[in-house]
Amino acid sequence: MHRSLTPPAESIAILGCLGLFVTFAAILPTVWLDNVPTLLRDISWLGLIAIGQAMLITSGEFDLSVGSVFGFTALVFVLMLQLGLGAPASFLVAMAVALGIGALNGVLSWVFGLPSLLVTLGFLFVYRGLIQFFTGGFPISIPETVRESGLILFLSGTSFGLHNSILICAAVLAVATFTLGRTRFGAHLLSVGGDLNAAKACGVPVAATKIRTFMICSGLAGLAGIVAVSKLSAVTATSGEGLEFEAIAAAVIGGCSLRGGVGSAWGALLGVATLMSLKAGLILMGVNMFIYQLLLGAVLVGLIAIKGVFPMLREAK
Amino acid sequence: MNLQSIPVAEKAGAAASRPIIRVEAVEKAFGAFRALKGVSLDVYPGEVHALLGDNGAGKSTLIRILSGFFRQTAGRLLVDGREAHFRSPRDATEAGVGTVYQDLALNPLLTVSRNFFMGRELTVGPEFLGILDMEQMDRIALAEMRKIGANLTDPRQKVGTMSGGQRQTLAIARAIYFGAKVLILDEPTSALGQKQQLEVLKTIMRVRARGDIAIIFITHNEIHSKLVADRFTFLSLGEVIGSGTREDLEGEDIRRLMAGGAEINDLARELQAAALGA
Repeated sequence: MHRSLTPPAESIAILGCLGLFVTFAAILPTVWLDNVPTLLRDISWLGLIAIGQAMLITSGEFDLSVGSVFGFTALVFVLMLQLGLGAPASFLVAMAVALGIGALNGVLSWVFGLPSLLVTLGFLFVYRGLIQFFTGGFPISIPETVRESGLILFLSGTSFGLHNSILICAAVLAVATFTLGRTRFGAHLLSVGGDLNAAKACGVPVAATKIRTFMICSGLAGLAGIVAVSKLSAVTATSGEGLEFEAIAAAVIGGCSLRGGVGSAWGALLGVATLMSLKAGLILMGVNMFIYQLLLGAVLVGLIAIKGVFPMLREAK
Repeated sequence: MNLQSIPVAEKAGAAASRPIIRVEAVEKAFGAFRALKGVSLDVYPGEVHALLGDNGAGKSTLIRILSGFFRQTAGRLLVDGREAHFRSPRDATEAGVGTVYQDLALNPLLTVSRNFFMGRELTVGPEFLGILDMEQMDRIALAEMRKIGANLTDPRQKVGTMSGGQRQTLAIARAIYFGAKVLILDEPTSALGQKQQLEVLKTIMRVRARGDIAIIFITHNEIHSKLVADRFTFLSLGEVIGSGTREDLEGEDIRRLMAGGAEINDLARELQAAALGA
């Protein structure tokens, strides 16, 4: 099959988010458009996580811990602020923790050879447990004194009527897309994800590539946590819960192959836009949220079924 | 195309003077099992050296020694007249021994030029950014594949959309571009249809025509070996049971040696006996 006949892997997400946007704009004209800035902000938060997850899935791995890392990094950020470290230093400490978590996931999986799915599942519980330990069931808030600091004002503020988190997400999207498409690291990432043995035989540094991708994934989840807590001001015991599944679902809707080797950052972001539009539309229509869960599951299963029925949607092998 | 008609003249000059690889009484034991029991062979630039033998004859063990996966238990390996000690496949590659395995080490999801430069990408700008030089990689991949006869127009075509023969050509072109002076082809025709097999044989002859590269052609297929090989070595149970140039060996010899040294008449008799017994 010639490549021009193959629809891009991202087509479902393009159709999905356009279709939902138009549908909800038609059903709820004023409410929907008023909600767009908030929708975009929510997209940017989950989008940061999903871009990292999409890169990791493309490299042939999964990270189930990103929801807990989102909450845990936000917690570290707030705790550092409470210790009086100052916003920039707290930011750096929290990001270092997030990157360290990613490195640990990568090293356990690719130096010690443990299955990454189980390693990250374990850490999902470990970091959630730590969050619950520190919050003790009560929200931990950013101290009043630092809420006016430049970094936090920037992370929670708006420019040109858009939340700054959207600008951050757009910048990450640009860097991630360039990295995947035009750099040596991106080439290595695609090659280890698509055919591990071929990559090994050609001298691609497999472990280093995987570990770095785990770090990107955890780092972006942590960044999303810091950005979100700057806006929301507090970390609770459930901050970030369940985001790992929404991020994976978004990546898959956005065209990532579960077998690795195929995927894009912008596809994952469109996947997030699809999910968040669906969620927002249902909330605005006053529909019970269990419908969202139900639809999300049905969409995922349907997607995998469609790929099974129409071979042209699968990757050329 | 009549493959037999390709002139043998190129090898007659400097090329034939000295073997590029000399295997001297190489032995390999795995515990008590002796996979190779003193194998010797010479491989000359500009020649196709067919390595034939049944399953278990020791072909794979020999290739793995030549390509740096195993170290021999005894005997010597000389590359360009100097003794070589390969500790890893990378050592072998650096010494100019390029092996094209049956799985070809290609990623079907990636483009031709991405596969061509997999693990050895070309970059522009500051080294630490690792920005790919896509135009250069496309240009080189296309040119190198065309040199050995691939009918390719788009270096950004995905390998998954290429024929088996084209994939083989890509793997061979890549090995040559990255410095292979000896090309080991492990059963390159075995998984292909007839038309694709001919494509691969043509590619082998084009590489041979360059005159500077030695090709070790591992095969089960007596006809393929007779079509392209200049020299033959037959292995059976870890030993060389016959070797020589195309001129030295008559067709019947090749057939007899392929069967592990047994006369074809003996085989026929055995088969008859089995049929009667059943």
